[in-house]
Amino acid sequence: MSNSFTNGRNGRSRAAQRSGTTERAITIASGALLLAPVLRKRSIIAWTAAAAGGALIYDGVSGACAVSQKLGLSAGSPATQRIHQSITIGKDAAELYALWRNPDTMTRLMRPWADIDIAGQNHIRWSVPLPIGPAVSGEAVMVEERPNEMVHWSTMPDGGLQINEWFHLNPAPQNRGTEVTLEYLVDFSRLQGGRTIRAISSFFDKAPHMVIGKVLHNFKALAETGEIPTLERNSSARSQNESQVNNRWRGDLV
Amino acid sequence: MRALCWNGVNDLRVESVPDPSIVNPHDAILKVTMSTTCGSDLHFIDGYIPTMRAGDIIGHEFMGEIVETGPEVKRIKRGTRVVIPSFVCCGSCWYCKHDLWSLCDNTNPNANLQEPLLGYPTAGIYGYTHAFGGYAGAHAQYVRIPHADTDCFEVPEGLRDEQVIFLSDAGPTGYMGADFCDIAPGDTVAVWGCGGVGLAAQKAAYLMGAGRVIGIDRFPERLEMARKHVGSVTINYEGVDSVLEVLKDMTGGRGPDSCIDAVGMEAHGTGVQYAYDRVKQAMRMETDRGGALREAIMAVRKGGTLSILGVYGLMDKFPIGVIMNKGLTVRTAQQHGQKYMRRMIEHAQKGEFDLSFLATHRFPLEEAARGYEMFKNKTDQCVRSVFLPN
Repeated sequence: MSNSFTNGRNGRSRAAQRSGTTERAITIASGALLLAPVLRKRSIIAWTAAAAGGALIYDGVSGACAVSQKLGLSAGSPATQRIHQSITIGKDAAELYALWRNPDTMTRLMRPWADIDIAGQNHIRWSVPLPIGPAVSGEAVMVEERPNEMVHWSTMPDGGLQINEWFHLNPAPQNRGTEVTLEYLVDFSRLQGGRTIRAISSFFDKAPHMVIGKVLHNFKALAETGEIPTLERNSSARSQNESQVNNRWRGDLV
Repeated sequence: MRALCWNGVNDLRVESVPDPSIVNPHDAILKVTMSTTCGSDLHFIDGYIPTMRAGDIIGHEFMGEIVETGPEVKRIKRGTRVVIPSFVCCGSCWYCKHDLWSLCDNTNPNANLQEPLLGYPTAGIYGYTHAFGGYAGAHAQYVRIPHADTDCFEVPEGLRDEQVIFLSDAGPTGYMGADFCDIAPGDTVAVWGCGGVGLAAQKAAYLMGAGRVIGIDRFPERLEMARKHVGSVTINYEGVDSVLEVLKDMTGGRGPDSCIDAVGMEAHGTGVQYAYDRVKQAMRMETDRGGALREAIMAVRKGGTLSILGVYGLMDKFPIGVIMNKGLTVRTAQQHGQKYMRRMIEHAQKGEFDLSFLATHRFPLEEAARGYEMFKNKTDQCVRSVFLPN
């Protein structure tokens, strides 16, 4: 599977900026979040995160933007994030298109991270439970489709986080089936402190890549074998409750 | 049920765990009649391979009887006695269709965890780290078998469990290693390691037409096994100044046509090079002690084939210049057991590929931790411990 990441930095201003109050508050909070792990676990990664956290807290308290600019937090930075990945599946485009458009498929593929409620043929409600605090939820509609080629979904323009998803199908060479690409454009600009959230999100960009990768791998498995590989009810000496809670948020990471 | 669980570095315990159940439609449940230790398990038991979690059931070399099948299992029936390759394979993806089974695209539930390490994910394995899928292992009374129709191979009447158990992993790994060598009649093949995989590779090399097979190890009892059960010529590397020079002497200065590494990341050796690897590995500055592999690279003749079966992590000091300048062919893989299983069973039925001599020690499952301890330390000349979970 190939993947790439574009953080949309074209035209980014290098001029020194002074942060607004909201940006500064979020910067301080982000810094504190990065600083926290070192209090629990004194590993190299934790110390590195703590150093970044300390720098962000300094930025937030002082109103300066030295670190913020490096991370793309300043006012001149873009507030969008684009991620895409591809996978080759040994089925023809028509079969994959039909499977992707089956409402059950979306529900199954997103089950590890989000609860999907089918509100209509081209309309869903989604909810992402978080480890702490209330779930994040919203609605999405299909805005364009070209059978056997492309489907484009978008979240409702309700003033919050704006997410666009494109599902592309292209023939693979050597009779290997179809190249499937999943592309997301996330627009943070309508959120309070959107640039900070985008920058923090790009700082942890492995997480969305892993989610998209897992969706594509599972879609491929479903298309080629009729089932998704799973560790559900996997026997171990760990308690079943502990396994389920962990699996939802870390994809069974160690 | 009872199962052998990993609870930390060198901490194995038999514990009570939930029984497995049918989760996906192509699943079956196997009642394990025999399972066995494998040298590759020692790498994570010793803490050299990451992504284990406390409570994981280990074990990937096993056989048994099918006791339950999912709704889409058509070929394998309840009550069938089967042997199962250690890699979980779907049988439907491009890799499975091209006989590259351990590279299956569709059976690693943690593909996203493995991809950053390898570039692309491989198939899942039973009981062998979460990067390789996190599936519950086979040192247990029961185990869930995904894609049962693809991965279960019926055992013919007349073969005892000890004659079949090693066809799950050591057998196909060694068989594949010999197959990689494209052996021409009369070739000389040198094999580093006289454990289960190395001895299987030596036996397979003769089956494929080798004129002379040379087994290299340091344990007299294992070298004796190579001579007695395989017919190999042997070298005790602790008893010679230079394995390279001995191999040159044995081959008229040409070197072996093919060299097979069946040792892996915890190679023992002698001299400064070994001490250097030992210190770096102990300090976690590298994952591998690669002495056997480096020696095999030096020893193989110009234009020869190097077949790598040993398990490695991210090795440094890898002499790619020697490989390039000598024009070697390097072939390696985790075992593609599904490709070789029927051929191996036929050989076993004819008595040509009987690896039962590897099962030197038998234990009930409750004593599996002791079985691993004896296997690891070669106590009482242990080559393989086998467990009887039911």
